[in-house]
Amino acid sequence: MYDLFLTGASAVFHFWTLVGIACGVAGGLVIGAIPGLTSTMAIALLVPITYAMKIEFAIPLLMGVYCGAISGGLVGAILLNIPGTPASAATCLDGYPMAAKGQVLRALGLGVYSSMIGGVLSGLALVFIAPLLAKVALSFGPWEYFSLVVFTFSCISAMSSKGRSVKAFMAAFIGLAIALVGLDEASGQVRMTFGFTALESGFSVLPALIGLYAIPQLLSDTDDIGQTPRVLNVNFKLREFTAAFGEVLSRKRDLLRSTVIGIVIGILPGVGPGLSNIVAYGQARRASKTPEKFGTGELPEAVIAPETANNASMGGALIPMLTLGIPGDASTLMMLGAFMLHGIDPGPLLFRDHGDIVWIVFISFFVAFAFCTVFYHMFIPLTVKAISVPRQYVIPVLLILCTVGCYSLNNRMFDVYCFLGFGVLGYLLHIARIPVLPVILGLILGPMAENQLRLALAFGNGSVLPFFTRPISCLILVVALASVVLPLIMNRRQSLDLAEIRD
Amino acid sequence: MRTTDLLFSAAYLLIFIVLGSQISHLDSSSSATVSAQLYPWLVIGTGVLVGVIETARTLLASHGGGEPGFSELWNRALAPRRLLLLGLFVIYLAAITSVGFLSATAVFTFVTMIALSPRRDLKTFVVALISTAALVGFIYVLLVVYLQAFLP
Repeated sequence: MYDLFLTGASAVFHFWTLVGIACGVAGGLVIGAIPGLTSTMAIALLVPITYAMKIEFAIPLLMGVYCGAISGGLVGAILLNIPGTPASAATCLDGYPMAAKGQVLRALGLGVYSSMIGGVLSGLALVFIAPLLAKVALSFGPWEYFSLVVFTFSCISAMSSKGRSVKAFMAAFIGLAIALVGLDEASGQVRMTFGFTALESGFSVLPALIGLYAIPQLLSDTDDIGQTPRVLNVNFKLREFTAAFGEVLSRKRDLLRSTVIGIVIGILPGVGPGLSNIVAYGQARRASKTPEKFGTGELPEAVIAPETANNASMGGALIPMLTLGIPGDASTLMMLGAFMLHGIDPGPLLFRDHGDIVWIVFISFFVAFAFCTVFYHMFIPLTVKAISVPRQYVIPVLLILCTVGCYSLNNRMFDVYCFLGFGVLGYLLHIARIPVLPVILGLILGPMAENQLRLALAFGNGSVLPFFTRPISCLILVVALASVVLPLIMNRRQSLDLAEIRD
Repeated sequence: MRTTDLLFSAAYLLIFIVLGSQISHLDSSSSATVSAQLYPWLVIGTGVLVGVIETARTLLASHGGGEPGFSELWNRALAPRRLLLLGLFVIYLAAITSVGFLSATAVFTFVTMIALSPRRDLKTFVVALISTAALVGFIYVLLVVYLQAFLP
């Protein structure tokens, strides 16, 4: 293990790798700060370009973008009252009122330092939990893996907004159906291609991923053109900014609670910082002696809680991605795509066969947060300027970069057409208010589900009983069923209670 | 929203039924324990079932208060700027093979920046021109020099 740590450290602390992480963090901070451009978009833009890079350089670079983009969201939330990323949605509630009272640097300082502490603590959780979970996962057979895929989809359904859980399932089945297209490796037969030879190798995952995320978002972003953002003025004074550090440290209970919330929600497949910040804000309010002051911009914990939780989710989201190959959120889903692009399949075997890569992920995670903290002290005014760039200049540039990225994967226009096709599909789903994440999960986890189901049935001579007789598989399936049924029962009970109150 | 939901469910079911019709083309008579048709049937069959449940749920559900109406939703979806961007992008992709990648990229970037701008003054033209030149230069360095890729 020590050797692997040293190999990982020597790769990350190489001069050009550090430059790569620094550039990734800087780019991520800028993209994350611009409302509407998420960390997922930032990673999506970069993943295809990393194809030509060595994985020892590509992964730290992507980690830099990931950490920078999630952290950058707080700038837009505090200065514009518009979260840069969904991960900072709850930060707006008190960050902006605090800044509007003339305490801009206090609000930013609270956000930055709590983000960093949440991120570092979740990094520690990642280092300690991931190897243990990988050891447990080594004992998993195809039954447990297939059950895990079922659990992932049930999680997405459970986390969907009220009345949308069946739609989330439909989205997942769209992804699974798309994953059917192409060659069936086991039987050697081509399926669902409708005679198109270009489809025989199936759809490349990355153009589909980028199209589904980027095109709907860029089309929606055109609505903001011509609207001049009202950015609060920032007169940066280092002493005033760093004073918030002591204030953050004095809120140990809030830090700890929000970190735990962030990590746990991060570990759950399919949900991440977008949910954890809201839950942490709600819990901080519930635990507060003065809950009525939430939303007024007076309480530091109202900024600390969501910002700690969203960054804590990052380490949490990496745990299932690295150990099981199941992404914790949309950004780690893109990271999963990056690993696959470089011929590495995340899962328990990653820890056995590519321990150095695992350590590169761990170490670059901490280094990225260090850069993030330093950059926030140096470049806050620059980040503030970035959020004022008119959208009409940003949108075509991002669209072109996506196109170039998709083309450069295989040097073929077919991938670019797929990017457009999936973009239109994503836009139609966006109109129908159907979440895109289950489609992508279906697309990525479809082949895994098929292979594991086939193996499970082959090992069991066609019997499905082992899914229920093997304890871990059965437990996962029970939890999956509970995560679908319980919200339905709770919603039903809520409706009955409301009806009783009305009567 | 209800009409849109029903439209989506109908399109979804139609696509799944078409996909389902393709499964019978797969040969399941191989000696493998697991049929090649099993997993596709599982996905398509369960997918259709979920689609039917959602359609029934939408038909039985009361009208959702606060949700946008059919015309409001589609007016927003088909907003002129969104369609303009999508249209220009489709033309750009179609033009790449005939005009060349770099020239098409330069024209698309410049035209889109101008077309999307709420004001078309000299400053907009200059910024669009500089941004286009910088982007094309960056792509050339990235694709040709660094990645050594063949341009389409």
